[in-house]
Amino acid sequence: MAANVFALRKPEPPSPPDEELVGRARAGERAAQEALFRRHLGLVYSLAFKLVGQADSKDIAQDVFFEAFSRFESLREASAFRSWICGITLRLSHRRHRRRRLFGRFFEAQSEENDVEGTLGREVPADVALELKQLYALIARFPEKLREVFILHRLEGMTNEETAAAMGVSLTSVKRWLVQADERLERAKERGAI
Amino acid sequence: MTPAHSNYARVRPQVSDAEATQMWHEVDRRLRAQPRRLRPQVWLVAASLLLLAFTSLAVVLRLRPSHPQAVAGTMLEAPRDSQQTLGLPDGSSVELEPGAQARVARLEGKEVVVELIRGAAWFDVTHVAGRSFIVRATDVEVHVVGTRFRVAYRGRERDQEVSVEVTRGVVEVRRPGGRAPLALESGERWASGTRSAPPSVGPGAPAELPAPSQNPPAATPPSTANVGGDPKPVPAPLGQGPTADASAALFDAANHARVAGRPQEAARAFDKFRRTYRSDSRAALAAFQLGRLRIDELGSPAGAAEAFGDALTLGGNASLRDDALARLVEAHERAGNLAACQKAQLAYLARQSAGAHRAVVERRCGGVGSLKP
Repeated sequence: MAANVFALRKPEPPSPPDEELVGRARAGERAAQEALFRRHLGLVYSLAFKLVGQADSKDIAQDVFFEAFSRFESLREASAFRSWICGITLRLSHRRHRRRRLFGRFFEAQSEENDVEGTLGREVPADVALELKQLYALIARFPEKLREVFILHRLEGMTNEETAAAMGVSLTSVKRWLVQADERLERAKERGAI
Repeated sequence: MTPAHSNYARVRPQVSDAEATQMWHEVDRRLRAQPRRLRPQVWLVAASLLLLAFTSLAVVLRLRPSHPQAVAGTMLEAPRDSQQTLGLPDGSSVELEPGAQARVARLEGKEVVVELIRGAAWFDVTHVAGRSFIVRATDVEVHVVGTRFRVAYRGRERDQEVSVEVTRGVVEVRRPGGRAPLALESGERWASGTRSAPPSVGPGAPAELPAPSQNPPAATPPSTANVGGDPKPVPAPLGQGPTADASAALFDAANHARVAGRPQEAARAFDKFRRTYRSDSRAALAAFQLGRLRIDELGSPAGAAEAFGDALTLGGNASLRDDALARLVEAHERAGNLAACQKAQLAYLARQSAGAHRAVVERRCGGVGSLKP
């Protein structure tokens, strides 16, 4: 009977690639826009979370998609949608980060510490969770470019090319900043900060 | 210990389906709420049209005949059948009449010198404080403050003549041989006396200024000889020598003070002249100059009205009467004397039906519509 059930199940249609969805979304098709939104929301939200913290990450994610779907004309290649939307996330997060720092000078500074532990599963050992928390606290104090390149490349797993495209910089810059970020981590390790 | 790279992926903040749906509705609502944007093709067409418009404008501007800009040493020659205009960086311009030739000899911050080599040219000079603008035609120099005038040079072996004609402002004509400079005003014309050509005189008698140092006013030749380049002063009429000398000296002193920027001194001299030499042909001009100084320089429109009225009483040529009556209207208006203003306005409109100032006069005293004949 079980074999019959599997046989009766309707095969799931292949998910259309970004290029196709972008083409349809550009033409104003809401379903295509929603598909792109749901496909990349995790990445955008995660990136915003790591850049500005949990408090603003949902707002930023919504702003990112609103801006993306409002300004499709600035996307040159449909296949580069992922990098492009990451670039928008970086820009809006940076703006939010800067505004928060500015307000922090006049009012009580808000905590920029991420709730890393809340995002970890129960299976993550306590020592690993502690180290990850220390890591996020450390990279929060990195210079802007080092922090962005580290989050995109090391934490989000993007390639050098994707990182460069998202940041709008050269591959050489990405590689140089990655080296500098790794060196900072190494020094923190030597100090026992991690 | 640095966390292994494999652990980095463990930090994965999640958005539930319900949250994602809620977020999408919010994004969708904002997208629908925003005004409909023009499609890229529309922008492309609009940008193309704009580009086309700018290109057309650039082509039109490029094709439009513009004045060449001068630099020191520029030689300009107008064809025989058309005029040529040369623009200077300060906005002044030199308009060469057909066949004329000129050279910009010097173009500096404090001095501009244009040499007229042949023919005639109009000069429209922008006033620049501390800058002298000089036009040379052979050995005659025309010094300019800010005006429009014409200089013509006709050079032949036995017949040379330089003439200067002023349509606006004041110029000073300096001749060689240490002779006193001449002040030419709007409407006046001067021509150098030559071996064969007699000097020509414009509508108003140009005033001859005393030479700056060596020629005191009393020694200045009488102004009846103030035209032409004849190096010999024309003697005063028999029996009128001392009086003519004194009146000429006073008139010259007044003109000199006015050109030198001493309006009060000039006004006193002109006032004295018009009262002392009322039968002199220059009395009307003196009264008119007094009026101009009072209204333009000394802030006395009522006094100006009296002087302009006196100029009309004294006579003068048609051009002077036209100017004096128009300025009388202006003086009464600025003095706040509406009744006198309207009376003078009516007189102008009746007498000067083709007057040069008719349009301006019509607008004064509250406009022609307010007149009660």
